[in-house]
Parts: sequence; structure tokens; C-alpha cells
Amino acid sequence: MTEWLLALVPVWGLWLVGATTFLSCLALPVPASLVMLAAGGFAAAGDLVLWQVAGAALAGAVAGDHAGYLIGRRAGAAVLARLARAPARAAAVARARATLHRNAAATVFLSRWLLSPLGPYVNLAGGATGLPLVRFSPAEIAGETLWVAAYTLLGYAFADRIVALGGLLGNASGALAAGAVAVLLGLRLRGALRDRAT
Amino acid sequence: MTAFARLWRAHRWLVVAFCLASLLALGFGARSVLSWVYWSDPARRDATLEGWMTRLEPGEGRRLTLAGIAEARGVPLAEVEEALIAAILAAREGR
Repeated sequence: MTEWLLALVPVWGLWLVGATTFLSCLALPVPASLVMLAAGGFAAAGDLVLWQVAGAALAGAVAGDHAGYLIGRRAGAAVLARLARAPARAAAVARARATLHRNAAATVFLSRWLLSPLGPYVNLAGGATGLPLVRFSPAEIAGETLWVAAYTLLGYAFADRIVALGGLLGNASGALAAGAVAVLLGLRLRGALRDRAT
Repeated sequence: MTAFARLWRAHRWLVVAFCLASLLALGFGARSVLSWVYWSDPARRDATLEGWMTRLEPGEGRRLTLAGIAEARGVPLAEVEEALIAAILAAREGR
């Protein structure tokens, strides 16, 4: 599918770039980072224009994130309410909401670029827990701008090494995201151990 | 009861999720390092030609992909790639 999608970049150009970042923000398995790298590379070759590539990618990503947020708000809130019917889980849901809302700016910002595989789930969680848009959108736009700029500029600069770069960045961001989740879960486990000890 | 057994009894899913996330992080980390090492070799830096690539040429208008050129000429993609590789090598010789 990656081959096929890359073949469409010079044909459909900006529309394809925007559609790919949009879908990737909804956790659909499309290689958005590779498409952005390739589009940056095509800009270096003169087939596309760099600022237009970045603009299309950013528009798609911002629209996708907000679509995920709205889905969370519409469907996720009901799921959370059902989960919270059991008193034990109600406490956990309340705690998770409080934690997310306390660290909203950093969580949203970092899950756009540094921990980008986690982005779609943060969108859903933000919508489902009723995080206000005025707190979601600024961090979201700032983070996506960084993500889009990094990938399109890297593609522009290393146009001859896109496939290698895509593989390396994909693995590295997977490692960072999984590592961040492991650290958070590890902290919870340590907290649980302490609670028991005292 | 050891600390681990206590955690396992009270927070089984948390322990399972922690182990899974750690394994994933290690796996992706190892793959990152391997691909870094692999691509550090200058001999492997020359990208293989693919049908989706376009030719670098001055001028206006949308450029053809290699697959498009092959189709327009009615020859297999491999033939276009061979000609292109020969041209690249000739250009490098001349430098």
C-alpha cells in the first residue's frame, strides 16, 4: 500500500497529502509521515511547492484532530458514562480525567510530534472527558505545525533518502511512544506499591 | 508475599500493559538502531529506483513518474531504470 500511495503523491499532490494526515489523526493506518517526506522530496525536485505541501499537511492534520475530538465528545462521553456506573471504575475515570486536564497543554502538544503515535487517542480522550476546545486547539495547532514542518523539511533536505529516513523515523517514534507509555505505567505501578507499603 | 506477587494480584492488567509497552519500546528501539547502522553504510545510500519517482529535469509542467515514462514509451519499467542508472553513472564519471 505504501508503494501505491507514494505513486499517487505526484499525481494527486496536495489533496493526497492533506487526506493522509487527516486520516492518520484518526488512527487509521496510513503512512502519513512517509507521504509528507515524499511530498517534501517532490518539492525539492520542483514537482510540488514546499509551503503548499506544509499547508495542506497542516490543514489535514488540524481537521483530523478536531474530527477525532468531536467523535470523542459525541460517542466517547457515553462510553465513559457507562464505564463509570461501577463505583470502583468511576473513581478511576475521574482520576484519569483530572490527570489529563491538569496536564492538557503538554499532553496534547507532545502527542502531536514527539509521541505522535499517541495523538489520535489523546484526541478521543480529550473529547470524551470534555476538555474545553480553548485548551485543546492552541496546543494542537502548535504541535502539528512542528510535526508537519519537521517531516516536510526533512523530506526536502534528504529527498534521495526518503525510504530510509521514513523507516528510521517510524521506528524511533514507535520506540518513544511505547517508552512513554511504559514510563507512565511504571510510575502508576510504583505508586501502587507505595500505597500498599504504608 | 513478594512485591511482584502483590502487584500481580492487585493490578494484573497494569502489570501486563507495562510489560507489553516495555517490549514494544525495546523492539522499536532495536529496529531504530539496526536501520541506523544499515543506512550508515555509504554503499547503501543510493536509493533504489521506484516507479513512483519522477525525473529531475528543468522546465515547466507536471513531471512524469518513471512508471509513466515507461508506459508512454511502451517499454518495461526495468528498461527505463537501466537507462537512467547508466546516465547517472556516466554523469558521475564526468564529474
